[in-house]
Amino acid sequence: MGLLSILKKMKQKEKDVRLLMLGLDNAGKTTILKKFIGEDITTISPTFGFNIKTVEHKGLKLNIWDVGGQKSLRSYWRNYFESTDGLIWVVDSADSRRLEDCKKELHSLLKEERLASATLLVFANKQDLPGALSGVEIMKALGLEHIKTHHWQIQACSAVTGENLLDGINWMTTDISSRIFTMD
Amino acid sequence: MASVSEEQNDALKIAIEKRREETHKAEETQDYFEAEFATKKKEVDDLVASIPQTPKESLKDTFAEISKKLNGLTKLISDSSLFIAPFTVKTYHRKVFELQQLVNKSEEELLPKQKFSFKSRTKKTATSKTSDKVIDPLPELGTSAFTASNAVVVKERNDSTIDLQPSEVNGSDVVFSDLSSCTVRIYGTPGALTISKCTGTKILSGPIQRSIFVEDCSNSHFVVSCQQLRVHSTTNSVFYLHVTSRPIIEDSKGLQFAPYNWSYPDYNDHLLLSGLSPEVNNWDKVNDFNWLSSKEHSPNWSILPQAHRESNLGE
Repeated sequence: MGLLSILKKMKQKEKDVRLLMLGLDNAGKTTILKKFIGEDITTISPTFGFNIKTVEHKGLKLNIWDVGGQKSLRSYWRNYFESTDGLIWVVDSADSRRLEDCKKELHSLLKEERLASATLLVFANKQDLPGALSGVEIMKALGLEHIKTHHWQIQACSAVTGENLLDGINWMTTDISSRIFTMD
Repeated sequence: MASVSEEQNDALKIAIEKRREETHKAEETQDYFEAEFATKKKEVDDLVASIPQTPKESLKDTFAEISKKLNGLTKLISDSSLFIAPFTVKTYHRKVFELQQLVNKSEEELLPKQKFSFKSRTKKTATSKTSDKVIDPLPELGTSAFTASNAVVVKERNDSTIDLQPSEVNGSDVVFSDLSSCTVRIYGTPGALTISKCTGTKILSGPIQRSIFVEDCSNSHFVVSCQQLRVHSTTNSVFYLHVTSRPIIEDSKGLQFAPYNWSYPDYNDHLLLSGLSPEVNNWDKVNDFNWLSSKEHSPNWSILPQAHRESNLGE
């Protein structure tokens, strides 16, 4: 077996990318997931557990884990950390009352050893709502600019209209694949 | 190796194959990459150089274009990383990173709003946030400096009757906080409703377009219609509901549920306006996040027996 085929094999395996989507309840995680893969979003109830979807995207196989964000489910989040390549943190940009809560939960995740190598994408969701804070406002409220431990990006989006979802996912997959390939 | 080509729609594979073919001309690989990189980088450099002469209104597009090209550069490096030395890969990633920093800095200076978004799609404009309709003269909810500025806020009232008309609430976020022994009637269709720290209070509302969030309430009655209901840390309260997804409760006790039973002259028009389906009502399909067993019924909520349902709570 030549060197090239070994390298190819390695890549083959690495084309499986595991994305973990977290955030407070009612942030829109399930709606983002369903919109992204083109399912109906009108009948979504608060997630009582978790959803997993696998999609092919830009030659990568994305395994997206969407875990419920209710307070009582947050202690189970850590069961999903293992071998996560990307963390998608979803924020309800219209819910200014709970931003402090949102910041606290995010920063405690970033201290997690098992998420240490994960790329962070923050979706400032619900931009379609009047009164939604902008991406920059969310960035400041969550103290993102102080994050030095992870590659991160914030993307203002709307799961309902689908606006900018693809941009966010594209950035994340580009970042993950460049990271993985550079390490070869 | 044949197994690789079995997968379809695989841009990565194509890129690898392409690069592989190029290795037949082994000495050209590195050259090819460098030339390609140089060409693409030149395009970015030219764009960056053109920024000072770019009219302000098209700056956004220029930055979007730059960002796209920078992504292209990163991708080129990634695609080529199998065939060029790791050190070279690192060096080139560094180059792109420095360029990115430079672009970010200049974008920050020229378009402050956009500074952390590599993509500069149009975001919400400020005009949609200027409709302050704070009914109470007291300062807004003090939990955060960032309070949605289009919210209708009613707070800190005792023994009052509060009626809200369609013109005040339609499409807005409505917030009730610290109400005690009040009766609130909303004759309209708000976008969302947040109810916090209310005791002995009755809240009746027309159809809410999206969600209702109830927290830290007790001994209250809610007659509400919405797409989604979430109830946190609330005790001994009754919900008369029309809800099109499954309602959820958490850290709550002594909740009772019954079907929605309020009406007012414009109710049907408002229902149409809210977009809620009149046929779907999941008022009795409550999920309790503190009761994950599906075998036994949660002790924290029950269905309000027919005989105890009141139809004139709003009076």
